[in-house]
Amino acid sequence: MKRLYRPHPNDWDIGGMERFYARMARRGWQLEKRGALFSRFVRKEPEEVCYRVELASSSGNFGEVQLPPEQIQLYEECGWQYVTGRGLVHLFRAPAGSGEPELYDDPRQQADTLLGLRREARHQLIGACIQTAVYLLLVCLNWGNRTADMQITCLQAPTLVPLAIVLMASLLAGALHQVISLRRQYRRMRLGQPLDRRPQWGWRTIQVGFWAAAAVCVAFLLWQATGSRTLVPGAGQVGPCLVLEQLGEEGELTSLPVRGNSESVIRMTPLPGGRWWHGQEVRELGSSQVSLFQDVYELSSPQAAAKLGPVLAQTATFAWGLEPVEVDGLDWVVCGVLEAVAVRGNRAAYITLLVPAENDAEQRATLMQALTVLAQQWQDLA
Amino acid sequence: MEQQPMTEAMYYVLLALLRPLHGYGLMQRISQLSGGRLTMSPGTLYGILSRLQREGLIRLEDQDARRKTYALTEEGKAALRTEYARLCRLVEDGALLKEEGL
Repeated sequence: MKRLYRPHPNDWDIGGMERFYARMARRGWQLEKRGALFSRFVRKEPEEVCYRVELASSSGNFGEVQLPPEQIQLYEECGWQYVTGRGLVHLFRAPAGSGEPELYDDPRQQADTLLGLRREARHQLIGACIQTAVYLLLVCLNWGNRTADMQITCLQAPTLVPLAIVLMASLLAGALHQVISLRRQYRRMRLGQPLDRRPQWGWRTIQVGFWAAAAVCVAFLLWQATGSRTLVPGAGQVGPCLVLEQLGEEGELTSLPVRGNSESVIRMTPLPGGRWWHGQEVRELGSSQVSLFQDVYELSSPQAAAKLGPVLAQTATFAWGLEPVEVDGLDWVVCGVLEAVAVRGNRAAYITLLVPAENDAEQRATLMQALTVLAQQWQDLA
Repeated sequence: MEQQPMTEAMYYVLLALLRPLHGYGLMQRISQLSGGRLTMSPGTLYGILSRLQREGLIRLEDQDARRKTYALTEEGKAALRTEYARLCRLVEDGALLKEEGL
């Protein structure tokens, strides 16, 4: 039997739910099951059906709340067939125009059925607010270099942070709108006015705005992913990166983390400038191993590169060991035992180099030598 | 504690339950008793039945039966008598209207 899954309107949008399921039935899709985000439909003959939502009284706990059997029986005797339910929302159907009585003729009585849903909506809003507040607090306190991490993420994938903000804002706005809408509906019904089943165009417009913004962010990420390319250092494609051969290190290439057995890999991601990630490890005779990892950025201006340098230094694994040093041909350099950050013009690089060394001083000297080679290479590229 | 005046719908539900009835039968009986003046939708009726059950004025007579039948409790009968007496007093007091020729 043919089945179809479709996202359904939110629980608070009672009129929207009833219209949505009636429209699907008119197209030959009969509601079979309502899930958290999607409803399952089964293929049937198209028919004119009227759906009505009944809300169960919340027991104070989240989860499934069944309607009492005597309530379902009463509704069924009046011509309303029980279809399915999830959480507090339960659906009944009847052939359109069959003269079945409405579920409620007293809005004040019906208003009481909204109380459980209102309580759940308030809990969701409080949860969303706490979650957002905690995250913002962590960012403000710069916990775990979160601010610097975010700056790096903004550079590597410029739309990832806006996408996260759009999704968070969408959840928060949805939770807030749910509370406001149910409160308005409840007050209206307590005054004796019937349930407002009209489409909520204002909220739909806001929702479309959120989805459009998210789609733009995702499209950019896809463009980045599809635009990424791999350079082959063996064929002389090194871009602005160093390779171990330039440092006089030659030997058998290891398989990790380098993909492929014969070459080191440089992955280039398109940005307004560009970003190169390079990983290379070689095993020399006698089993000693040399590893080089680099993140090289080419930015729109020297000012942007100058700002990025300290941020890269802040996110380094051994950030506390980095000290400013002078290297000819580089504008700004900090160097530790294993790591260094260098800036020249509109380029910035974060380098990790591990060589078999007797002590820290020897390891650091090799790293300084690598920086000198890098300065020369960048100078040649300019 | 003095009994609060009942709503019209509650009064008719109790009145209809002088004979035990299931939900749908109750709706028809109410319509019949009120001469078609009062028709009750299933959701509204179920809300009233739940409330009356909570207050101990009615009970489910046979829990296991396929069709759930409701019946008045002793408290329900007493409440109905009290409400009926109150309504009678209201009508008697209203006799003044006739005396005044209105």
